[in-house]
Amino acid sequence: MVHKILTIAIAATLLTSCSRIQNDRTEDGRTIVTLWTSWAGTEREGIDSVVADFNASQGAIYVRSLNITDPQTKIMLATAGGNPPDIAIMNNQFIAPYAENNALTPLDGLCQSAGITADQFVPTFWETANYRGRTWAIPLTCSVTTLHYNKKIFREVGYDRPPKTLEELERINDLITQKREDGSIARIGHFPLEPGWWRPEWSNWFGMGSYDGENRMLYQEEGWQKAAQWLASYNQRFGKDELIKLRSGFGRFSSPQNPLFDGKVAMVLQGIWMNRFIETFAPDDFEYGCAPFPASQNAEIPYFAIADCDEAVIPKGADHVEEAFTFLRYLLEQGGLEKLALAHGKLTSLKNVSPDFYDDHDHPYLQVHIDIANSGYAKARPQIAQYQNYFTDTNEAANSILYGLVTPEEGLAQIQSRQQKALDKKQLRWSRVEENYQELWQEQIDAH
Amino acid sequence: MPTHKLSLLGKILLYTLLALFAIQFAAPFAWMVSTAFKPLEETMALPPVWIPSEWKWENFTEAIASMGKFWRYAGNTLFVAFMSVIGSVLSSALAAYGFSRIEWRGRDKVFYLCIATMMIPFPVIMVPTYALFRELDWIGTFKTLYVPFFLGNAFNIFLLRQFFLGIPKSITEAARIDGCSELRIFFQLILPLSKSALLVIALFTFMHSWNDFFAPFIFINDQENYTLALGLQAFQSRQGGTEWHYLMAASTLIIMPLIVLFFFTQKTFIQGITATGGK
Amino acid sequence: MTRTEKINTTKGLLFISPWILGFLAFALYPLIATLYFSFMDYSVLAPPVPIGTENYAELATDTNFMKAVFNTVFFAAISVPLNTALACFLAILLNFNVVGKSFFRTAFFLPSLVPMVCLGVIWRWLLNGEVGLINQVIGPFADFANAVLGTSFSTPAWLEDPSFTKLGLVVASVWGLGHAMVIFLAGLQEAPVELYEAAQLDGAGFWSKLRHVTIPMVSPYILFNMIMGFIAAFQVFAVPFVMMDGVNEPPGGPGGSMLFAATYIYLKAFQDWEMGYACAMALIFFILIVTLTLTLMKISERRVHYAGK
Repeated sequence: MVHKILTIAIAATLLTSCSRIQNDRTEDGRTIVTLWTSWAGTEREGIDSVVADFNASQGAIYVRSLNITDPQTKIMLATAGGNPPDIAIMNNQFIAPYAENNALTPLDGLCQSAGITADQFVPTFWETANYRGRTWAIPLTCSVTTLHYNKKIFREVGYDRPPKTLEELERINDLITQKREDGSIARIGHFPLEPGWWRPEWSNWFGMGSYDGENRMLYQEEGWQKAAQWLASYNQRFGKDELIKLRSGFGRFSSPQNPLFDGKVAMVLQGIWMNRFIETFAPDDFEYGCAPFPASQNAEIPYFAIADCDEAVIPKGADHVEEAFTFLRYLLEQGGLEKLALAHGKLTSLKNVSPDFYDDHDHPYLQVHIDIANSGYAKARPQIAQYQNYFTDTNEAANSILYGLVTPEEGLAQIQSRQQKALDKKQLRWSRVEENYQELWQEQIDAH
Repeated sequence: MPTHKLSLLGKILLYTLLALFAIQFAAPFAWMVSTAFKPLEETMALPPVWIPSEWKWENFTEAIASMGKFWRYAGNTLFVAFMSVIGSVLSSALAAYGFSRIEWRGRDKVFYLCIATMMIPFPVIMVPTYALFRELDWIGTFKTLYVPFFLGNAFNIFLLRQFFLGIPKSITEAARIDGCSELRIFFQLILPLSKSALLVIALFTFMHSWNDFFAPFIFINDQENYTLALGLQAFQSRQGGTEWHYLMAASTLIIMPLIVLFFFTQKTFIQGITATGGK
Repeated sequence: MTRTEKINTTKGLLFISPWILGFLAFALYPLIATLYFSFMDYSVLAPPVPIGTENYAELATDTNFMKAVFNTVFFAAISVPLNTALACFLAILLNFNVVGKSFFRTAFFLPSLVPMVCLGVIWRWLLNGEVGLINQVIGPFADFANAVLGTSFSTPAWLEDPSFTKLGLVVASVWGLGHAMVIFLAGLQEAPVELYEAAQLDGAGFWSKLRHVTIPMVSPYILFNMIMGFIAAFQVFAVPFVMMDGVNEPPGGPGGSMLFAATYIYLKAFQDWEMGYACAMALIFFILIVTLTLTLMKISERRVHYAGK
């Protein structure tokens, strides 16, 4: 008995230790390129269909796509562990941390020899793929945020157009918000934490971001001071406990219980993809409009939008760099990207799209988004090596200020000191390794 | 206090308390199972619905389908658990034998060292362990999960040592005088006598592998290689947590095998836990 | 050393050799490496750069680190004594030779089999502020109190309100006390019947028996369960992580109220890729755990009663 177990154990160990032999060819000898994406649902169907087109279009490369959750962590874990995919799709804000941690393959050389140049892309989107003077990614499907508002509720309170300033938005907010007898909130006009995906960026609507792009964090500047006052006004107007209660009753984003769809919230900051979810989950009589999300009247800009891109990167240590890039090139040059953008209901990163794109795109407010993308008022989130830390921490600070757990002054002073320190640390670290890295990257670029 | 005679009032109090606690401990289970069978509307109903108006068995098939490769995850989990059990039983038995049935100088000091390693929490050593596995090119493979079990586990060694110490010396002395090798004594005398203890550590190791989240979370990154725990976490994370009927159905599916296993091995199990409490 | 001694030592070492390897690879090396990396700027993807004590200096002023220490200690300090006391209490109840003992034992034990991730998912559902079972149960009590006493209790938003998140986790942790209870039960059964009989003869009542016989008899088990409980509580990761995951909150939960030691080490190591910093933190936590365990053992040395000693 024991001997039997022993034999099985040894046999099993031997068997599994062989299982790591790289399985990178299909049966008919095509090179397998692995692609990791966190796209799910219709977005996933989009990439699958484009991948199928590509696989059918030639006989040398076979792209195999896999689903992951929590991409920014998982891709790094795999890359650092020496076991990365050939292509990974990630959000633009993670390009800087990945590049600075030496986790990506610079694409400058590959782009150059393929004739892929900056002027083919919408500048706002292309910038997100570049960091420390190198190109790290190919921006694919992109979006800009707009104010999505419930037209019916607007009519109910006597408005037939979107607000022109943030101050006007707040006046509408007060008109829309309804309280129940026990003081709890039945409906709110606008709530900065719904969906709250861009919480760290609210200061932009007051004219200034959180980071000057070089060596200073700007939490104590006018932009954040005003933004913090604005956030804090929510607990002053509506009450902390009521807001917490309201928020805990919000349903899941992709469900009919999404607070925008079931009328708990009338205005949200959302991206172009929202139309997809409205079509799927909102009630049939749901009427909405998209408009630029207005900036504060004191800011020097009329409105602001966050530009977000899903980008393709080739992690460092990927086994099939050339083959991976062939697929990316296919996306850009042979209409793959357009097909993908249509499937995602988003914009492409490219300046020029075929006329069909406009006809086939089902977004009722497509032009609003395209105009904003090209307006110069759309900006990507900051390129910052400690992005995750910045995001978590600023989120947290915005929450605390909004709920009144700290005063705006205290909250901003604390986060300024924390984030400035984090930035200084990264800058110091960069100064130590810059020379080595740039040299290393140049070698990699020259190799292709 | 087995001998204490309770008054009637005492008895009433005792059983009331027990019943209340039993309800409290059973309610979450009941709620999970009942939610798993409900249609979506009833999961959110106020006041709560305990008995679904219709029993939706399809929640389970739906949950399995939307979790991704459920059966693949189950297979992975079973494989890792199986390998861990083999590794753990073998290596811990060997080490426990060395710590109990052979007299050598410094043995007990080394054993205390072994016990002390139980105090090292995984989060403390995970970074160097990750770096080590990376050097070995193991990241993303199951080896990161089961190979450590082939190298002994303080808790299991402790348990088996207790048990081995309880086997009378005379049994092995006779064999030694007959010139049996130590390995033979180990395999042919001690192990067969220790079946129940071996079963205990096999069970514990199995449970541990089935439940483990932190290590696979860090070491496994390809979805194909997910374990059930990872799959469930990814499922919840992806859908944001509101399709409660599916989440509860998936949880029920993952818990059920453990409960079945427990009922089949209840006695051994309780004995095993009892032994861990040894002073 | 005589010849036999030598042979025996070789034999012994051979038998424990798998463990020795494991000890070197998964205990000694990681601890030394943790110490080494804690003086480095290290991201795995590039060779470590020595930076002296910078990591420690930063730790001293890192408010999130303080938060993580506070949360972990707070959670451990409430949940461990609570669970141990409750487990002991339940064991004492069961030890009255109750009818259906094995049924009750199973009922109390089963939840401790539930995997961490499931535990997180289930309790997130139970603690849901609007439709969660917990609030539905306590809601009527709060309403009753409000009606009768004129108070203004409302059901807490367990997962959203920073002052309640950790308590929610404590509630969830109580559900897993079965393991400790079984150990107590075994300990109680070991208590010699004669002791109780002697006490009975002395005219001791229920409470006095409990105080003078039962508690001293189970004191080693209390110590054991407390130590195991603390070691586990200091590692708490999966349950809060899953409970907070996807609530559109950072992994540290609202107000950072669910940021625990393990969570923060994980975030620093595998999200910010500041592995050196994570190692410095890990080392401090380790020292904390060791100190606490040793203190607990020291204190109890005088109080714990070991039968036969």
